[in-house]
Amino acid sequence: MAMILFWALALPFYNRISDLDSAINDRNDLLQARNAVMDNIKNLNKEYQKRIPEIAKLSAIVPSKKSIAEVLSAVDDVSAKNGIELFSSAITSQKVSDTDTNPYNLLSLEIFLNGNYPGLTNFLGALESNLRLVDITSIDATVNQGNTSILNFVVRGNAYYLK
Amino acid sequence: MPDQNGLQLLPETRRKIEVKIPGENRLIYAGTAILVLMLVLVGGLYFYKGILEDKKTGLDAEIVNLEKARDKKVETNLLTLSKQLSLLSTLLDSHIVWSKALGKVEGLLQPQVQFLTFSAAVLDNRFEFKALATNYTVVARQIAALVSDDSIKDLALTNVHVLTTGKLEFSLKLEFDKTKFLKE
Repeated sequence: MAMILFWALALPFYNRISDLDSAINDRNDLLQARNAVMDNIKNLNKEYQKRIPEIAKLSAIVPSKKSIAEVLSAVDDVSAKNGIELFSSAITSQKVSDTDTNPYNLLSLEIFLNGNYPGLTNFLGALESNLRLVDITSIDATVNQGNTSILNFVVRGNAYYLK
Repeated sequence: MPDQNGLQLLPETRRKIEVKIPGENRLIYAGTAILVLMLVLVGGLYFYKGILEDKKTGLDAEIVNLEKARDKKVETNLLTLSKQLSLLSTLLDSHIVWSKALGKVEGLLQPQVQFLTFSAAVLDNRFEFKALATNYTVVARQIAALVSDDSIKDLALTNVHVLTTGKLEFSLKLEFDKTKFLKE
């Protein structure tokens, strides 16, 4: 009878206790790890809250969204300040494939401008130092057909936003 | 049995004869003891199992509460910031500065050369231009000036011809070193 009790009850209980012990250890480890993560997040968040103005600037350089309106507004502002006419522009998002290791997507810019050469160099300088990062990939300049003192420019480039 | 002539052959009452053998109940006692021990063991294990199950349930509840206490918005903000920081150094390292490149070309330009058109692209490290020059010497000087710059890797004179005005119209195609031509 004792043997029957051992096989029927004691041994399953023992096995269950072993499983529970292992499960409790796993959960303890998980809990400790999660508590550590939560503490880190709390500390990071404190730092984040302290540095919100700097982080806002950082977010403007490479935002998490396309923010096409902001790019267009910046291009218009920069061209107006440098005395060249923004003739037309196209801003389209170019999703980088998910397999690409780059952590960003591209926003392609195609800007058609009229003006003089110093205006173009100033425009490029201003765009290069703009808070929203823009890399100019190509520039084409031709003399205006009607007025030779005016140049037509086509500036193409990329802005970035997070995936 | 009745007494027959004073002889009693068999006792009238029967007496039970008990023979005691030492240790005859030992197995029963041992078996009972083992059974009791087993019952205690089973009871103990059952009790301990209950304690562990309660503990496990408590830990599960703590994990669930911790999960509920997570602030997803804060985590998203921190994750975004981390991505932005890691991305920024890469993008700033490869930031293209065309104003510097155009300034460099201006600096290398001969006074008697007048640009008509130009086209530049990072993709193939190319800077092409069409310009007017007063004579071939000026064109040669212009080529020499451009070649002397270490940011220009290669140069091709794609076309040169005399205009009716007497001036020379020429086209040059430059291949530049991106790291020297376009960086601050």
